[in-house]
Parts: sequence; structure tokens; C-alpha cells
Amino acid sequence: MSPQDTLRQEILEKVSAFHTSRTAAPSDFRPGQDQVHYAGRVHDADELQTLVDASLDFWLTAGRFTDEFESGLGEFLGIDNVLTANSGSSANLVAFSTLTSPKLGERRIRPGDEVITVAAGFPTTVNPIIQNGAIPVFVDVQLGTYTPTLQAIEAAIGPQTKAVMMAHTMGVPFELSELRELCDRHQLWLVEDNCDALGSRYAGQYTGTFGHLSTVSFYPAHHITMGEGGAVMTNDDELARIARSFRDWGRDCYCSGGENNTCGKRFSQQLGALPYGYDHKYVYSHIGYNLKITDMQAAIGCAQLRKLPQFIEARQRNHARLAAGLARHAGQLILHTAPAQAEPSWFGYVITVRPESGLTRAQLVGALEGARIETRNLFCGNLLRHPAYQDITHRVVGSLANTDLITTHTFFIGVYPGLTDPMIDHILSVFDQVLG
Amino acid sequence: MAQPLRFQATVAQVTRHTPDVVTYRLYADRRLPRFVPGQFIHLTMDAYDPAGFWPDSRVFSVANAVADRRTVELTISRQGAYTGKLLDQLQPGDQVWAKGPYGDFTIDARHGFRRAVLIAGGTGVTPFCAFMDAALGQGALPLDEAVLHYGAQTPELLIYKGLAERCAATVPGFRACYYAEQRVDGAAVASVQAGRIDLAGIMANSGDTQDTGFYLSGPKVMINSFRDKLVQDYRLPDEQILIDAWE
Repeated sequence: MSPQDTLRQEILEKVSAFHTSRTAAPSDFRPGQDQVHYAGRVHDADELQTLVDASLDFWLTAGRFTDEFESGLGEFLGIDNVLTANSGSSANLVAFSTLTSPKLGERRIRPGDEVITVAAGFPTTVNPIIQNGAIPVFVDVQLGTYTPTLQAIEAAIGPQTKAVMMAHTMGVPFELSELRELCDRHQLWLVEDNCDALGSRYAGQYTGTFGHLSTVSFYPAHHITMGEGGAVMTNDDELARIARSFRDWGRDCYCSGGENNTCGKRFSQQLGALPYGYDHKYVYSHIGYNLKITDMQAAIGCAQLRKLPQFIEARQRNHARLAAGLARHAGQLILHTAPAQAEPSWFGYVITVRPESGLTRAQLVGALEGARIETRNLFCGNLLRHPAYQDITHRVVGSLANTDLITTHTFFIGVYPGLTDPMIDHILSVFDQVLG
Repeated sequence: MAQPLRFQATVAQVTRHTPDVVTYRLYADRRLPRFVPGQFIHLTMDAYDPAGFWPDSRVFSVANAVADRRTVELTISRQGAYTGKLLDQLQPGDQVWAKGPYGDFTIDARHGFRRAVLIAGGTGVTPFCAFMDAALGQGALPLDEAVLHYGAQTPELLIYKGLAERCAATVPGFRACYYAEQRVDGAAVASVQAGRIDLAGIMANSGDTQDTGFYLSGPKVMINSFRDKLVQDYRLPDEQILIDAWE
């Protein structure tokens, strides 16, 4: 072992000791006094060590940990191409922009083309559609699953429709096999916003592997985290190359940071109207962005990825406990459900207060927050009611009655792996106190 | 092109066809990205610290389909000091670093051709070996028809003739023609045409070339000569001519 390796090993051991000293004596949960978070980062010394390990490399931009993370996540999900990005929202932007590439010929999405989506979700699922000049077409969702029916999507398909781009809201897969079949029949692109659903399955297959493109988020509230981070995923090599170009400034060259001439044609190509042999490193085939991650982020992701199976299991276990405890309140609450073939890796437990119950969301949320239990609205509710979206060009097919009801009556609580049984007992006891 | 990956591999097998032409079978330490026949990797013999810069390396076409996502075969000929060092020093059990896959010299449907004419000189046949390996695995071609024209200095240097013959015998739509520059005698090489690859003959038998991709792989002088003739004499557009060449 070289002196440098020895020093590195000593530093990493100290990091582990530091972590142990910080977490040596976890205190017992005190109901009503300690905060029950809806989400949060869950980690041990492994994350701190890999982060410091990457820092000692001082490679900084995407490097060995990024390679390891991308191939590891791809292997876990069974998907060929994983391209990290600096957030799930960036991943959505890259995924959608990919479909606007001139390299896709007639199938490219152009300004004025329509994309089917939902208004009850997170804005950055819809924003790339608008930012690229396409027109979002909104369909309503079902209460309980918070995903649209296949029939609603089919009814929204028109002559200008080019794609469907939606999220598996709160980890609940929409009917993926059937939707992919529908998209193929109509020659539509399918983009799965899988940011809330890493580890969910539909018909035994992981979400994020059905669509032409999919995305995932590694924000701390999500299934695994690297602080800020996300990824675009695809089984289509051509889409992967385009996505990489959009992510990396729009350049045609695919060399990683610190590499030169991996294509072997750096100075011998004729591209665009440039002089023959113009340095390929600075040739741009798309009007792109720089949305890459650092290797320190990926290092944390590598350690988190090792925990993903247990995180998924914990989310499913916590959700099941809440579902069992809340079942007795089904007369007053619409409980969280999933399609028959779905096996969600839940993001949270979503609850809609039945309008006929005589209760309000504010009453229930107030009681929970008063007992130090964090709640969140189902993101933006009806996106079209927000100031920024008042004047966007869009189309609505059918009514958005459920979406509006979500805006006024729906919220969610956590199921993340940081929850303990005493915390869940506390949550359920507050529901029982309020609902009787 | 799939997302390229840097990987370490063990030299699992070395086959010395001649002192100057060797096939290496590498076994990767991790699952590799999907390779498309015609793609290449960078290979280095130097030590590589994954936390640092990629060392000096050379580019080699992959000679198999990498169907198991682990095994990569390279056929390397002695071209200069680096390949000489490779051929003289690389032994079974050695560890090497590689990265890939790269390149769009891919023989599949994405270029929009229904037919492919594959012209290979010497070890330039390797990208087409990957194509044949994949076709044998699938029992079918990814396009309607492919014809391999495979030339070498002597019949003995047509080291992948057996693979081409198996492919021609079992995969519908695939044919192969063989050429040897030096004198050919005897029944054993009856299927080998004497002389260099005959472009005029190829074009005379190619019929309508509108949906045909011409893939050229081999010595630079051969590639340049054939490309010039295809463009100037046969008026083929550049888009129909794909070359396997690096700087």
C-alpha cells in the first residue's frame, strides 16, 4: 500500500469514527415533542466515507463514482443507459428536449405539437413541455391512485399528439404495459417521470423501464439521495446519445471530462457549415445545457444505491402499516391505492378528505402538524390554478374535477425509511383522535 | 450508442494466428453496456488509476457480439510500437483497462439501409466478425441482405473465413466472397479468388444500390482508394459510404 493509500485509509476510518460518535446514542422517540418528518436523508458512515473518498480524489466532475453509480443503477433496474443529471427536474428537461432533436426526423416534437400529461403533480413534469414550445394537454386523475385512466389518455389523443409525459405520482405506477402499447399504436413517445417511484414495479417490471425515456430524482426527499441529483434513463442508444448531448452543452462530442478523441475522429469530420476537421470537442449538434453532476454527488449515490432494496422494503412496510391503521377511517378519507398489477415503492401516503365527511383538510392537517407530524399537499394540486400557468397555451380533455378536489382536500404524510414504529403509532393515534 | 463504460478485464485467452496477428479474449470485471456490431473500444496496457486521467491507449474494433455482456474479443495486428508491445507482452491472466463501446460504424437498421456490402482488408474484418457473430446468435440479419468481401495477402490470413462460411451457411440473406493477393493453388482454397478485392465486380453484381450501405474496413490506403472510386466512379453519396477509420 502506498503512503497515500495508507493516509486515505486512515482518513476514511476517522470519518467512520466521526459518524459513530455523532449517532452513538439515539434517543427514544417522544410523541408530540419530536418531529415526524415526511421525508429525509437516511444514511450511515458509508455515505460519509464515499463522499470523502471522492473529495480526496479531487476529480470533481463526473468520474469513477459516476461510472459506478450509472452502471449500478442500470443493472439494478435492468436498463441500458443511465445518464446522471443535477436534479430530477433537469432530467425531465433533458428527457423532453431529447425528443425535440432534429436527429429524430419526422418523430421529433416541434413547437405546437401536443403532449398529454396531468395537472395534479409537480410542475417540472410539465415545464419542459412548455419550455420547448409544445402544448400540454391535461387529463384528470383518479382519486386514490392519483393517476389517469388509460381511457382518459386515449380520449386526449389528437392529430397533433406526439407524446405522453407523466409522473408515477407518489410512487404509484400508471398502467404501464397498456399505456406503452397505446403509445406504440399511435406512434407516441412515452416519457415516465419516475422521480417519485424508484423501485416501483408494474407487472413485475421496474417503472422507468417501460417508456422510451424515463427520469429519476435524488433529492433528499426521494428514495435515494445525493443531495441534488437525478438521471435520465433509456434502452434506446440513439436517445441516450441525444440526451447526453443536451445535458452536456449540446455538444456532438461524447468524450467525458478529461478525455480527448475517444471517437478517433476529433479532427477529421465535416459537420454543419464548419471547416473540415474543426475540433469535434467544440461542435454543437443541439442547443443544450450543462446539467451534469459532480463525482462527490455520485459517490453518495453509490452508497445509497447499496441500500435501495432495504429502503424500498421499508417504504412498503411503513405504507402497509398506515394503510392497515387508516382502513377504519375509509368512510371519511379516500385512502391511497394502486392498480392491480402495481407494486409501488411508495413516496408517501396520500389521503383525500371526503367532501361529504364534514371535515376539512385544514382541520386534519392542523391536528397532525400540531402533533409535530409533517404533512405536505399533493405538490401543486391543479397546476393550472397557479400564477405562472394562467396564460399558458394548453388544452383540457374532460373536466379536471378530481384535480380540483385534490387542490382543496388532499395531502400526504411520510413513509420514508427514517420512520420508526413508534412514530407510525403516533401518526395513527392522531388520526384516531380526530376522526373518532 | 450506449453509455460508454471504463472497465477492467482479464486476458482469458490468446490465439496467435501469426507472429503479427493475435486474437485476445478479454473477460470484463463487470456487466458491460450493449455493444452494436461495428463498435470499438479503447484498450490500454498502462496502469490506470480510476481517480485520474485515462492513460495512453489504442482503438480496436470488437470482433464478437459481446452477447454475454462480459466477453470481448479483439484481433490485433502489428502496426507500430504500441501494438507491437501488446502482441509481445500481453499474456493470459494479465489485467488490462478498456473503455467503450464507441463509434457509429454500426451494421444495423439505424442507418436506414436494407442491404449492406461489407468490404474488409486483413484484420479490418473484425467489425464484421461482430456482425456475423450477432447474426449467428440471432439466426437472422438486422437488415435484408449482407455480402462480405474479405481479402487478405494469403488464404491463410483469412483467419475468419470459417466464421463467414458458418454465417453464410446458416443465416438467410448473408453471403461471403474471399480474395487473396498471393497465388492461390489447390482445392482447399478453391473458394478464394486470386487478387485484390474486385470493386468493379462487386458493383457489377450489386444491382440497384440506392438502399445499400457500403462499409469499408481495413488498411487506410484501401479504404481511401475504395471510397474515392465509390464516390467518383460510381457516384455514390457520402451517406452511403461508412468507413472504419481513426486518426
